[in-house]
Amino acid sequence: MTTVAGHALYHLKGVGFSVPGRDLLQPLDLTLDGRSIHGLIGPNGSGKSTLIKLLAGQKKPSRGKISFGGKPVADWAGKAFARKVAYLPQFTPAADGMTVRELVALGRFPWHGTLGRVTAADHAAVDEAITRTGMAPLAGRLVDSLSGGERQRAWLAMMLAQQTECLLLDEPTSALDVAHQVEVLALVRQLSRERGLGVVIVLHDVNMAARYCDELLALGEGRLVARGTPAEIMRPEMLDRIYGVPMGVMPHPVTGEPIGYVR
Amino acid sequence: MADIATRRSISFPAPRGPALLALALGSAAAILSLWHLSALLPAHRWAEALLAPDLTDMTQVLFHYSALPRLTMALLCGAALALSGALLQRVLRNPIAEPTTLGISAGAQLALGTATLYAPAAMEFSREAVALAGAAAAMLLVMALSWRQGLRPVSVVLSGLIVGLTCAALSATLILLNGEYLMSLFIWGGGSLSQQGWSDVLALLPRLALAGVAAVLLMRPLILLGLDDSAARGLGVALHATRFGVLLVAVWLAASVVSLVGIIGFVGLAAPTFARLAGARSPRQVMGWAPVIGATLLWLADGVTQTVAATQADLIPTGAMTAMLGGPLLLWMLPRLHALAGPTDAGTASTGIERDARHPWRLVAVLAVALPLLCWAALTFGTGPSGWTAATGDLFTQLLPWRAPRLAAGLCAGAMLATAGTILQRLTGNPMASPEVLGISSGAGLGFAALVLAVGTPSRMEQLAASTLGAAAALAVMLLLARRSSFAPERLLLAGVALAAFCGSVLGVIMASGNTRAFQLLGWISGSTYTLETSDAVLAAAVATVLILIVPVTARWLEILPLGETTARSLGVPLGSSRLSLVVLASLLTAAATLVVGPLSFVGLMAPHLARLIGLRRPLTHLVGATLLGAFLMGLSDWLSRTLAFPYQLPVGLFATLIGGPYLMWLLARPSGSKGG
Repeated sequence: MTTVAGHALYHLKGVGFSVPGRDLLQPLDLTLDGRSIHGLIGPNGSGKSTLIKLLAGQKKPSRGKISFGGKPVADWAGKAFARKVAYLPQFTPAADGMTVRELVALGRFPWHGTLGRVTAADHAAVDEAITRTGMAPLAGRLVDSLSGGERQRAWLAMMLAQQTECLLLDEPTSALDVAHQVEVLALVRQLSRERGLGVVIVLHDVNMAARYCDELLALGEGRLVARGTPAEIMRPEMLDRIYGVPMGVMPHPVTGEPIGYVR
Repeated sequence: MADIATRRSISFPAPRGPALLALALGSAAAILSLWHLSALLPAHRWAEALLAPDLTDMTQVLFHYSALPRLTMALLCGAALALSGALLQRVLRNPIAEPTTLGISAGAQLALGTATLYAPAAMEFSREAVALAGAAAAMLLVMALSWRQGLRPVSVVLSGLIVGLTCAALSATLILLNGEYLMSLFIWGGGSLSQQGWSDVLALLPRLALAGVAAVLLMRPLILLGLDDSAARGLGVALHATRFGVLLVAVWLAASVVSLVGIIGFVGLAAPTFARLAGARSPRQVMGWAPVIGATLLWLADGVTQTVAATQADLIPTGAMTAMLGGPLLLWMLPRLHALAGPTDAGTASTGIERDARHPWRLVAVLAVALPLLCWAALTFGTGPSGWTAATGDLFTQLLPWRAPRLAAGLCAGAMLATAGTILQRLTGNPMASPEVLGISSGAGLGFAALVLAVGTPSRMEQLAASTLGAAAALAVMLLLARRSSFAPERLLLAGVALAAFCGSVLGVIMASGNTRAFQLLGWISGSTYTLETSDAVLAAAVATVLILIVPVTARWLEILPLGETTARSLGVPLGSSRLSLVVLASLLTAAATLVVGPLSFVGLMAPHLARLIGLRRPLTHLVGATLLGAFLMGLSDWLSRTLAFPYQLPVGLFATLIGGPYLMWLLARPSGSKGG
């Protein structure tokens, strides 16, 4: 297994995406490193989801080239790519009549394929993914019967079972309460540190993003408007520009980390 | 959901497409009509014939009391059916819902057939009332079956399909038992627009107007119904009441048309689809343009019917012609379809009531034991001149060559259809998908029909060759159409429905011609096994074994594909090639089975649902369970069809529908035990 972590994970050159009548993403040059967490922030309709879908190979760019691990995304074979990159869409489909364990086991498809034997390693990966996401008590339940937050964690477990080097998460915390948001993001960060995973994550809550990401990329109207460490982004004038409302920043009373608020 | 931003960003001008389409259809129809009318009566005397017809002049009488009412009727019926279809598609959130999908038409036909035989006085009194009663009864049954699920779109359509199938099977049985006497029902069944006065027009016009007003009044809740249930409820829509109201209007419209001119299928499906394809986007636009397009479509179809059948226009039903015209048109437009408007319950084949078996393999084992028992019973017991007899010893051996081949062939066909149905329902995520719906069965039927018409009494090998060719042609058309969208399930299904409608209408025309060959055709189409020989059975068994053994290989695809494209792609499932191989596999299974039992058994629709409803839901157990159930259903049907109506032999396909339909209804209506959700 060749590893792509350590050097550039994604390389985008002039990548844009448009639908008839509108450019959703202006031509963009970007390099994303492995082993770190990139947070995509920005107002609604700024192109965050579009960008992450392009990275996931779910959509083909209208122009420009995206390469992953030095190879154009389009040239990767389906299963080989799925062993490297896992993608959690913003809306997960209804998993009709499937238990949590069965859903998580689907994450092993890229490894065992259509006909390959399901090995002990596959079972171990599924078990680990379930344990890490805290889904063990719910493993036998039907996915449809779970609450929104539990369902989101079940899908996250499926991604973990994929054992990829890169996670693409489109608003993974949208249905979670504060405690579970912290739990999921902490898990993502822990995994990134432990296994050297590269993570691209779309987040709405700029404070959560600042707290858990190594780097923030702010999009606005399909353009990259700012990029930097949380400390660089979490400044009043920067946040004004990103969200278009007057914002202020104050230090967290306990940790001292910057917290953004609307003025 | 992927393109919320996309959709919002495009500004839509008032669509000109639907208007242009209606204009094109209308002008073509007008030219045909002008031509027909001027052939009947010179143009300068039209005004006179319209306003004050000279009752001593036969051509003027025809013009005033036949030609003009027929033209008006075509327009009104087209508009009514289109509005009904648009309402149904909206409220059921399913692009292939239309009046016939709900079993309304089949219910009406059954009522008419029954009344003709057993209560002629009722027919004398009012044919319309009888048809209306049948339609309403079918609809009520559908509503009752899906009431427990809160009239959820999927449940309603599924119940409608089952009720419709069962009614159609009963009608066909009546016809087969009573011979030529009821053959005329087929002509009516195809929707004949011929008129003898203005009474029908005057009957339909106010109903259409009333329904139109009701539709306008219901427009706002209707728009919200397009969202999912919780969103609509959150916005304060009374779900049950609104859905019930809209369904009522739609059914009433369809039943009115059915009671006056018979079943005219496809317009209700095609008109709203055409409106959307031509650019109508909002529900208001679709609801407004669909009736206009439907009216012109039926007008044109009627014009073509009269041109094609200048000599016997009364015999070829216009309803058959609409599908012949609209089917190819829809097929042609499908690749140009960008995003199919009208939300669907995509990605879920669930009816919301299935249970999860604790020990699925034990259930499968029970089925596996039941099957040999059935075979033993079917081979041993039969009816003779002196009632039921058990064949033992020598008699058993003597009867074996008569009973075994048809039983074996039936079992294989049932198993193959059920397997194909399971594959298709999982592939498309649509509970209405089945080999019959995919049009492959109809293709095989068409090949067979062409042969019967050309040769008369063809040999078995010729029959085999012709049906295979037909099935292969249908398959090729399907694959060509679906390739561009890399076999996206929704388009596959729509293309299949269009193809099936087209083939079905051609068969309908052939049947309506009323000659003796049509009767032979009807026997085969309803699925008769009594002509089968040992060689047929061996062939069927060989094909079934090979194909069914391949299927488990695809189990993992069948588990992931129902989760939708995004998940499948991110897990690395090869979308194009997996869909292509599954479609080809399902088609081969269908073609082989159709050769044995004809195209109309609907085991392929029912068996997967039966398996699901008894609690088999993982791909592998679902597949195996459905296959066993399909074989069981067909075997049981073969046995009963041979014995129950002795000395008559009823077609086994019909019987399978008659047994499976009510059982499925019972499963649907029963309180759900251990519901997962």
